[in-house]
Amino acid sequence: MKLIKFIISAALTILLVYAADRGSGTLPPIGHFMSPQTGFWQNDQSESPETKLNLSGLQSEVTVHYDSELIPHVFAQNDSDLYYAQGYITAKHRLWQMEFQTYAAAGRLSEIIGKKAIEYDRGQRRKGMVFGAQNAINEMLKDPILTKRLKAYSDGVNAYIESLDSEEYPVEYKLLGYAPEKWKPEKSALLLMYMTDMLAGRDEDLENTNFLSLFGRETFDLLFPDFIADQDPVIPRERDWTDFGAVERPESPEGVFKAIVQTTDVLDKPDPDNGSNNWAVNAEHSENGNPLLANDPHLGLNLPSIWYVMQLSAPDHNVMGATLPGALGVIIGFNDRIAWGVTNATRDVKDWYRIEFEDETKKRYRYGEGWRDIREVIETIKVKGGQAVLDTVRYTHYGPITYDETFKGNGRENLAMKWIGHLPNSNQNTFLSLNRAKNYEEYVKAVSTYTAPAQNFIFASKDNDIALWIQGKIANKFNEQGKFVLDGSNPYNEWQSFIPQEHNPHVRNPERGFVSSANQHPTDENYPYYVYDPTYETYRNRVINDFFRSKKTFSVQDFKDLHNNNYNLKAAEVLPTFLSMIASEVNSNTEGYFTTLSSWDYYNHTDAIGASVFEALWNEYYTMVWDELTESDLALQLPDSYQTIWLTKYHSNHEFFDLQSSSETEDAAAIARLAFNEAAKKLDAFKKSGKSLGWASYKGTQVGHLLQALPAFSRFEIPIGGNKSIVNATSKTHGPSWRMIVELDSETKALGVYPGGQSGNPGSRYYDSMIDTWAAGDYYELLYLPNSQAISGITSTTQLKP
Amino acid sequence: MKRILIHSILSISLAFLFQLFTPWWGVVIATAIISFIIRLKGISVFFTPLFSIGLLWGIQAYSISNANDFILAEKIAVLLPLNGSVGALILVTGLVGGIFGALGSITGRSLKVLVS
Repeated sequence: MKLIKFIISAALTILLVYAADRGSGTLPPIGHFMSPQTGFWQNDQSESPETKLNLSGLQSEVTVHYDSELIPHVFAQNDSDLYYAQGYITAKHRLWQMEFQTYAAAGRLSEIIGKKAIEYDRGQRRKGMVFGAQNAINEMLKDPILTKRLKAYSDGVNAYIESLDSEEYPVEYKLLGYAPEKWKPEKSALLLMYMTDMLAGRDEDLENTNFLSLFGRETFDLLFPDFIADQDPVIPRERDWTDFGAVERPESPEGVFKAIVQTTDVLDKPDPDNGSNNWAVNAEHSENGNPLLANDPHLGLNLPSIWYVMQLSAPDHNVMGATLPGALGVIIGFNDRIAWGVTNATRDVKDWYRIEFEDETKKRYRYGEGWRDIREVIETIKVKGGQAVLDTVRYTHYGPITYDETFKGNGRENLAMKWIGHLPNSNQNTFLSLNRAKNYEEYVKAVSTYTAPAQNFIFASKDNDIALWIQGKIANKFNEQGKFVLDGSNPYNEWQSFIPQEHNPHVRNPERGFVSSANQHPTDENYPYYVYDPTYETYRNRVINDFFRSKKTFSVQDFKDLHNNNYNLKAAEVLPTFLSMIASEVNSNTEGYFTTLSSWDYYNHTDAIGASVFEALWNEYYTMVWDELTESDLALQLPDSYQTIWLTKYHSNHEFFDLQSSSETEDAAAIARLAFNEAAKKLDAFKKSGKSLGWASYKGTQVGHLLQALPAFSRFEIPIGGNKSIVNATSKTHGPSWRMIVELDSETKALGVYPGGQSGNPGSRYYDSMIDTWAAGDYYELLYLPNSQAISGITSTTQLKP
Repeated sequence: MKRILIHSILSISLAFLFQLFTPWWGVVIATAIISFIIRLKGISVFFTPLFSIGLLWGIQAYSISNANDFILAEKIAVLLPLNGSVGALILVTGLVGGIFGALGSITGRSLKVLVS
């Protein structure tokens, strides 16, 4: 009896300890997690940097000053130490995020969050994310200098990881019950792939093909034109291209080059609003007589933030700005000679080829007169708390067959992806060269080898040069090549060549005295190469350029005001039409909203109720107009706002305005009236919930934690105006992820802010410390230290010693 | 009563010491050892370490988090979910520690009974 008692109590204890140590399913390992000695309590602390750290991987001493926002200012005596320190310091503040993003890129999320991520992981593998990263790292490792830097960064990250006891792991590791693994240079390549996918991973070829098969050519061209009349392209229209001479461009092929493929299920796409603004003026157009440059990349609003601000200084350069945790150097920033920024220069750089196999063994596929061999890759997806999943991905010479009978598409056909993201590249080098560039020539040299994601690289220097290169490796396509699914058996459908780099559109010191970009068309239709993308932005660019045409000189305050400009050009272009359509049928339920809307000034300020009413009306209207498309079984994209408004104004009787669910025949005006009544009901319901109808409250901007916006670690109801298509591009979950303004005075001065904080630890006061400043439209003066002895504004210093 | 007090003081001390170099379940071994040495009667075998280890974890949690204005504790109290109540979170933390302390205690006591 005594023995049984002992065995039962011992067994029960061991069993429960085991369970509480390991966790199960979605349950955290409760014993480990709650223990004050090992669990989350240990993370309930804000950073108080050490004064001294011994790091055996260093060659010389490195000084790291921190300022009041925990921005590190790193002073190293050589390159290797600089990137070693960058790796170490970044990991110290952002380790979990660095790893998580590279796991996400590589399709390994099932390893940490379990079986619910399997389909996502399969998609990542089938997109060839690891394939692309591998091609990039192989190319990068051919360069001995870059290799040394990548290894130094990696060693720095690992030195930090190795210094940790498990109770010091970031809280997310404890919550999910796993541990950090060793960093490798491949992971930096994966992080860059993560960005390439975010910014150049979108295409609508399958949807275009579906649309064409359902509605025909004429309707397609009406709703999805390549160019639009109102466009104010990145390269001013004044630019004529005759200096290129007769360029070589492939002839459009005879007959059918498209494959007729109907697909119902496609991969999730990156957010179409991933984009940015940038602009610069030269000294003649600056009130202080100094060139000014601004940039604000618009990305998903997340915590920890995608950006991490640093100053990086070595004997040959001194650079500061926004870094990407996981990548080397500064991505958007300035040094003591120049400033640069980027916006996404979206182009159709991902195409689909229908593949025809010889037989069901799927070993060979048709190409021209013969057959080519498939390369099979067996992907092993490890799953937390479950069996590993195996997935066979077949590679053609185009790229991986993403869609086949086992994965999305139409459950039948094989579609291979050709994507610029897969090509070997040393894009990391572009940024490291920009960090060191001193003038226009060095800037051009730095960007000239850059392949993807194509960017509008804006530039200003103390030599009073302003410039913008639209740089990426872009296929030289025949007309409409890759707008629809291509027949992969026809060699003519290949990307036959690339646009010569020197023919990439660019502008230096234009007469108008400013350069700018906001994801609009790169050029007008006279540029001699084929330009296509389905997501060119049509509003922000016009507001920005109109502002710069409105007067002669500009101040830093003007730049701030423009970042925070809430003018809703889209509303200004459609609302008068809506109001005249609705006016005849306003009733007692909608009268109040009609009055609000009529007197609204088109500014999406935080308290503007008119902005909320417009948004509600627009959303209802847009949904009702395109009901044919959303109700289709096939995967389809909806025409953009600009084209919807154009149709409303000039083709108000188009059959698309007819509502599928009603027996009557509606036109645009009838839809506007129905939409307004629906919007009024939604607004009433919102008001009943007790919330204000002011725009910021109605929009409800939030910054969500990377782990599925875990509410506990996220920020909600942030009081900020703006919206998509507005220069202040802050929508509910997306917006300016870094705002920077640089004045190239004799000493470079800069302002910066982002919707997050320098620490990745939700327990730190620096986790979200900049959000309120960002929402208020304010900035921090960035402390750009000339050397390691300058300590004014510094709050603490860590000496890293070898 | 005196025995309970001594048991408590000793298990808190030993658990505190163990935690410096063992995983979190060092508290289980600590209470097992103390209950092997000091004989408690009846339900106090369970309840004494429940309170003593619970107190240890609760105080430790409070003092760590207090120094940081409970920034993370408030968030974890939303996550778990405890309606954002830090007090409830500290109580739950104490309860988890206490239960494992109690389990160790019962096992230690039953081993003592077995071998004596």
